Amino acid sequence: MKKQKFKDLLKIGILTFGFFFLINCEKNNIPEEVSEEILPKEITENLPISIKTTSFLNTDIKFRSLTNKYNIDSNKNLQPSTNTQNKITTTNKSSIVVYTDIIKEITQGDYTSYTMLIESLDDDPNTFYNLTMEEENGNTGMFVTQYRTVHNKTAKDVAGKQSSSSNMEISTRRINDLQVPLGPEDFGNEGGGSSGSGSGGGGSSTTYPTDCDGTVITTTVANETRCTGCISGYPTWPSLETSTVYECVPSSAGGHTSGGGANAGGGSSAPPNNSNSSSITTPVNPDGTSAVPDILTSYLSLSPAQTDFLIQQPDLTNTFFEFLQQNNTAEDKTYVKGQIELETLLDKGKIKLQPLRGKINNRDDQKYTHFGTDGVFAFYKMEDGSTVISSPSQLTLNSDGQLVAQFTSEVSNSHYWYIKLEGSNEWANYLLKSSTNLADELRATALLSAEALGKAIGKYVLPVEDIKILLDGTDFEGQKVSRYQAGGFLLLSIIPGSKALKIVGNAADALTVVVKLGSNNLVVDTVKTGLKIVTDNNVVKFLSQTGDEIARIVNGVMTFRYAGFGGNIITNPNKTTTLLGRYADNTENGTRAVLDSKLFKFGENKGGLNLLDESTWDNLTQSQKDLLNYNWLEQAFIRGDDIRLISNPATNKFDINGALTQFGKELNWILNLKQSYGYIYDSISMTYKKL
Amino acid sequence: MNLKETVEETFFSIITEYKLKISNVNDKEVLLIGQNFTVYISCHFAEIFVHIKKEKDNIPIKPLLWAYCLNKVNFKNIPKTIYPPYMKMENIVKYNLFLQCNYIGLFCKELLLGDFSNMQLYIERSETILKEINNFYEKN
Repeated sequence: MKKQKFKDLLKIGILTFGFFFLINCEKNNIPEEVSEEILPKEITENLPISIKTTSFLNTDIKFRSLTNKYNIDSNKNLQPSTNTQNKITTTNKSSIVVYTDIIKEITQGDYTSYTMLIESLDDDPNTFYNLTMEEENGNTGMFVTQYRTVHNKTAKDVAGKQSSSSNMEISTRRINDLQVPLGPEDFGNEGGGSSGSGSGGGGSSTTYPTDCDGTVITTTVANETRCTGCISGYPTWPSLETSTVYECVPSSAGGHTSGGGANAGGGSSAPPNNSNSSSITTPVNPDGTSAVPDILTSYLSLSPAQTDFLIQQPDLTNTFFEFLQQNNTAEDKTYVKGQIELETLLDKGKIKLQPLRGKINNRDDQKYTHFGTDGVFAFYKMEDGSTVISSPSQLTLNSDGQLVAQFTSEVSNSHYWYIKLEGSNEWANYLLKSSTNLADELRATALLSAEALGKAIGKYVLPVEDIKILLDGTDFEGQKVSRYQAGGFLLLSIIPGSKALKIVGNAADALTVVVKLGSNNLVVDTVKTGLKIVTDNNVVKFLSQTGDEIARIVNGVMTFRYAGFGGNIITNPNKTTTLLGRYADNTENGTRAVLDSKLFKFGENKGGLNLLDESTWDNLTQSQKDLLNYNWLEQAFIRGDDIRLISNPATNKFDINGALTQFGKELNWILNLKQSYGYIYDSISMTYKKL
Repeated sequence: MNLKETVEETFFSIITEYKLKISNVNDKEVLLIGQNFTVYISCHFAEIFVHIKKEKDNIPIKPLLWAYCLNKVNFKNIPKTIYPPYMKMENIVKYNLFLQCNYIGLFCKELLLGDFSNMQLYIERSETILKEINNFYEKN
């Protein structure tokens, strides 16, 4: 059924074109005296008719004035995507529902009209209806046009087959407001009427109603045909077909008055101009060919490729369109244009992502599983499902802020990065640099927030460890950020269903906390660690669930409260502090206290603590374990880490049954390593330090 | 390796005899809870750490060190434990647990019965003995 209906609607579109062609040819058949008498002055003077596709994005004063006057806003809706032209509302006659997707603006001289599709007034798949608002020199009017395809069976052809032809009937009906009850009978052709039946009780026809007992209102129907064979230019409208429709407003209905909005009894109103008046409209048909891509093309100055992409992606296109209907600033336009630009680049039909594993900028937190390129742009599917695009030039999305360009580019300033997070439909600037120095990245973020984000709607994503911080301009006003900077930390909250984080307003709301720690950052998941974070001026304190202080950070230096060998562990802001000790030594202190706090990393951690990861050791042999342990320790020496002992070597090198402990082995290895890498032991801080 | 299951298997006789409850703190720590004491068993780097405590905040007692401090045995008479390089971590853990279970069964019966009267002696002597042990094995 639906298929058949769709075919019928397509036929309507095709037949409309054919019909206008025929009508134009027939125009010469209008009797000379009638032609001179009733053809509008404008037509006879052959003023050019201009048709422009627009939408409710139209901010033109004239358009806004008309929509306000006729209360269009309270009756508008988007055209259902099912492409149906059937009546949706259940009551037979109710207020008119206006589809705002496409609006055709027609101008000729001082005359302007706006035509839009409305919800069908009947269940006939062969009809569709338009609403037209018009204005000329301050006078306004409104009418509904019915377009109806009539199938005519003809005689059998020479081959004996029954053939058929179709004609388009057009009728208009003047109305004063959208509440007027209208039905197909109001167009004078209910029950399969034919052309020319439009005199009398409403409706109209393409033949002049010589028997009209009232006023004849003329409407010019202009039809634009899209260029299909143009070599250049996009889009191009090379031809315009016109026809004339006559509507008889009976004198019993009160005659027609000028001045716009004059009541013609049964709901009819006159065209906006005077006796020689003519309205102009153009069919906005529901054949499924949405004009939204064209509207966006014009509105955003899109490229032909981007327009083609929008035509192929109607849902996405409508999303952008609806967004712009609600948000209409220059930043909004840039944002949508940027989204379209990136979506077009990633058009799956053109770019094929091949399985390929690697790391962007050789960063461990930027692993990808698939890669593709078109020779200019590089495309990555990340391990976490995000999609990343690398561009050699700055794209629209970050054209609002030079800072973005500065901080998103690589050292060579030759690449710009964009990301669509898994589960998101939106692209964002990806603040990805070659550097793994998160402090620099957070500083860049703070600058962005203060100077760029305040002006831009675009979202920004910053990688921190294996999670991504989603920076939203609305949360990142300069004043707030300044406060966070003064405290030396950023507060983040996980976006549900995503690995992305966003900046939140206060510590109580933060699920994850990023703390500036020397030249690095400590990312703490407060849920996983069970830690509470409180701030006191420039001091960040980590508390256990019982309220005991576990650690504090002041000016980027962490002091970890430790009751065991050597006392509190104080980090070096410029180095990794590698901890050596037994898990639970003879005083029941040891690395366990640090492991339980989660305030550490396995490996390099400038400004923070480094512990050996033994989580995968179960299936290793003793010698394999020793090799891993040794390599980890040597790496610490190579980096120049501070190496802090947190178990007493005098009592923990050997177990009480004489076995050399793992800590004891490390102490033995250090004897050689400290010589090789130039270390000395500081017996006050219990730390091996590089000379 | 599941530490809890390994502990249950290794300490079966003690758990049964002294009616201990087993509690899994996490994948690295298991508690054996008696009427007047708790045995803390944890594992890290394949090392097994076994401590007996009368109450939560008391000094933790190492079973073999308890024996040394109370002169039940001289550490020099205990054979030095050496793990062959091809021995897997899992087996080292099992072996360690086996040793600790035996130390408790042999030297810590009074603790299992709730008698911690020699606790002060342990506190006074443990540090010294540990240093002796480390010095001894450093040279041997």
